[in-house]
Amino acid sequence: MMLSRNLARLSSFPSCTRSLSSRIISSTSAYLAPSISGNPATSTSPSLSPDQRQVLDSAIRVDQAGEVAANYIYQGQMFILGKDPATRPILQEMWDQEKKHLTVMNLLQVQHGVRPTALWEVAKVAGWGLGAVTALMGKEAAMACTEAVETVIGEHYDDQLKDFDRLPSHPSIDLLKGVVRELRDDELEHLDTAVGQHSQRAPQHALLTAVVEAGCKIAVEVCKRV
Amino acid sequence: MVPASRINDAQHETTRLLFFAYTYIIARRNTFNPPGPKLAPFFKHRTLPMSARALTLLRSALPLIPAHGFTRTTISLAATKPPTSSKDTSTTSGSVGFNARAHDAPLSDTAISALFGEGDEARRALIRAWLDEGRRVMSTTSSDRGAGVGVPGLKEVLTRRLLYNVPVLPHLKDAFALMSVPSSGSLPLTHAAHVADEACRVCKTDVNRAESWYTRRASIAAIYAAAELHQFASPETAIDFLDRALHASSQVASLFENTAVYSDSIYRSWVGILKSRGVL
Repeated sequence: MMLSRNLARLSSFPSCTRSLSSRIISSTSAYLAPSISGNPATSTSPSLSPDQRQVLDSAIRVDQAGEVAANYIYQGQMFILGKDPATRPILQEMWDQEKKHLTVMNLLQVQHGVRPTALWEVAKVAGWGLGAVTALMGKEAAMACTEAVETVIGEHYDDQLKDFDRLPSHPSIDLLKGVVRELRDDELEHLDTAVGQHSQRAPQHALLTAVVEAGCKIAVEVCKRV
Repeated sequence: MVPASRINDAQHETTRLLFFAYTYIIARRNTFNPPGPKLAPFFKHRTLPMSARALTLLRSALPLIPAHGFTRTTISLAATKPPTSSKDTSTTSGSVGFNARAHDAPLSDTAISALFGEGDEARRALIRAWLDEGRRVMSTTSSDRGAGVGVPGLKEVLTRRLLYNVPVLPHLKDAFALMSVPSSGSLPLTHAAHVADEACRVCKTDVNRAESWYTRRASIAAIYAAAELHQFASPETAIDFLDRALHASSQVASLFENTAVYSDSIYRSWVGILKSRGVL
């Protein structure tokens, strides 16, 4: 039943590119490996009304905070489970992707002049603590934590893409939408990986995922504002 | 008992009087009263939005502040000056700006109150416009350097901002005192914070340093606020004070960084020792 619920969630996300080979043009590469210097899409920010500016600021702020927390979740999980030769490469690959996400988010934050969350240190400590505690419960529990977090993040990015439709057309906004789509797809790949690593077998899976999902949703709402 | 005919006459008379009173009132409302000579220049451009007129007037008033201070007189005299740049002649509506040409007489007190509000609102608006111009001056530091020269340093940007204070220094204390009233917001706190934020943006100090966004701004705001206070007491040594404060701040920052690196190396050595002993 839980597996069917997750499969239903996965299929509800529209136009998800699941395989790396199908991703020909990467929006994040405009930030990670810029080929054009002074590209207006990566160096300018549009003139927005106060409401639109608030939408953009809160979106980038919460995404950056989320990537910080994700980085430290994986760091906490690696601290406990890093010695397991089967789990280590899986966690390392997902962690490396989150590091790239955070780099892109940091560049977006500077580009658009967005105030980062004041809860930066809280996100680090809470993320590391969540990763370490779930890893202590076992590999399946760690994967269940990843499953819950990535589910919330995937839905959150989808909602953000709808919010970005309120913003005017501008090279930087179009690139931002591409970046958010890519990040969403990567997070859903992590969700696939976690489910594939038997996250459903975690002890008290329903309770664990419910608690983690609730915590993530609260953190998203708080980091949008603070 | 009053005869019916006299009652009817009274009713008719009352109705006639009410009719005349009604027509008199309507006629008075629709009569155009031309403005007096003092308000005539104001009404010549009544098609422009108020905020655009006020902004144009404030921009023209900025060069007059050193001579007349942050006063209603400054704003009044600004109406007699030609606009300082071509931007002053256009508004968002596309119509001609309020100060497209100089006026013959200064604005009256009534006109200023109509534009900005009663009491000290006009002075507060002028102070805010002056502060906004100060932030713009900070960002022109980078454009003055030319292409390919690099990003300006923090000292250069903050020095330029302090030098912007010099022409109006005798009037600045009163201005800040006026803005310290609770209804104006806590200007002393927000002013230094805005300067620090603009300095970080111009100097591009935020790249790859999102973690220290708040501490960096708090430190720069404190340094700038201290330098500005020093400028009130001793204008000649303000730049030196700023330089010393920035130097001390960078030394403290490097001290914290070195301590963090040293602590990390100690931690890693102990982890290595414990792993070699089989404890971890």
